[in-house]
Amino acid sequence: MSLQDKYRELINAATTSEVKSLQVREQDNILYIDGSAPSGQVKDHLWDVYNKIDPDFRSGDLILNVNVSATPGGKAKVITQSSNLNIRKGPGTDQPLVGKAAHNELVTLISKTNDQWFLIRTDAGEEGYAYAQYLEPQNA
Amino acid sequence: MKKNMLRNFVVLFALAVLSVTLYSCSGRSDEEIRKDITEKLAANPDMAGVNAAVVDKIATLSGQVKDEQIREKTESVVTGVKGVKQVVNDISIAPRIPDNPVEVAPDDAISRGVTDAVKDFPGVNASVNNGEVTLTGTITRDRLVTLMQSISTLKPKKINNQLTIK
Repeated sequence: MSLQDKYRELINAATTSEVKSLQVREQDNILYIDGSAPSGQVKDHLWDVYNKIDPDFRSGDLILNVNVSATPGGKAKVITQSSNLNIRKGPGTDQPLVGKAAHNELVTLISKTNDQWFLIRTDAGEEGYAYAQYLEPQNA
Repeated sequence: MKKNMLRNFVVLFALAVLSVTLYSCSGRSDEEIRKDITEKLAANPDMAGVNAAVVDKIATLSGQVKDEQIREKTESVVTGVKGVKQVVNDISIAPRIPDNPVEVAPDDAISRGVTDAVKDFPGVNASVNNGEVTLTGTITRDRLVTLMQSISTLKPKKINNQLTIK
């Protein structure tokens, strides 16, 4: 069975849920799905489908890189497990802390450095880099 | 005299019936059928790579299309062309050409990203080799998705999940 068949339900879910710039590519027996999701719910749904087809992601035959599209100036919600989110001077965990944002707090997205680090500002005025995985852009 | 005329009429009628019958059986030449098929194929851009040859009303299709669905659709379109007795489907599926190759990040960039990604996951170890990220150690199932999402943004070639799930 080809990888596209194995992950057919996931590809269909991405297509029907308006994932933008969707790319589905197969290279050296690994499937790469890239794109930009309209919301955190869509991203979570895609990962649920992935986990259902390949329980605990054991096969190592898919790279699912679909992130929520982030608009500069827009808001993002802090989605840490429960703790505060570190705000750092530069994009890297080796960078010194310059502030913290609370769990579930809404912060302003200034710019996107890459898929790992966003430059943000809190309502308290703290500005710096935070780990993108713990920020969910709020698209209207 | 009258009898003769009647006989002539019957003969003519029989000839007419015969010619109509013959025409409907074999009236369309292979070339006419081939032209019709070519027209039908030209109307569908997905079938642009298909060639048709017709011999004794048997249409043989060759060339390439992008997938099995188009391959079958082409066959049914050609089957529907008037005069076609049989279709031999020798169409092959074109190898998939990706729009652009998958970009894998260099190891040092992935390594930096992996360090950031596993920071909040005590018990997880990650190594990077030739674009492949290998995860070892232990993790709880509810945290696995977050870690996988994080690693997946780093443009690795492959993720080997060898974590023990608690």
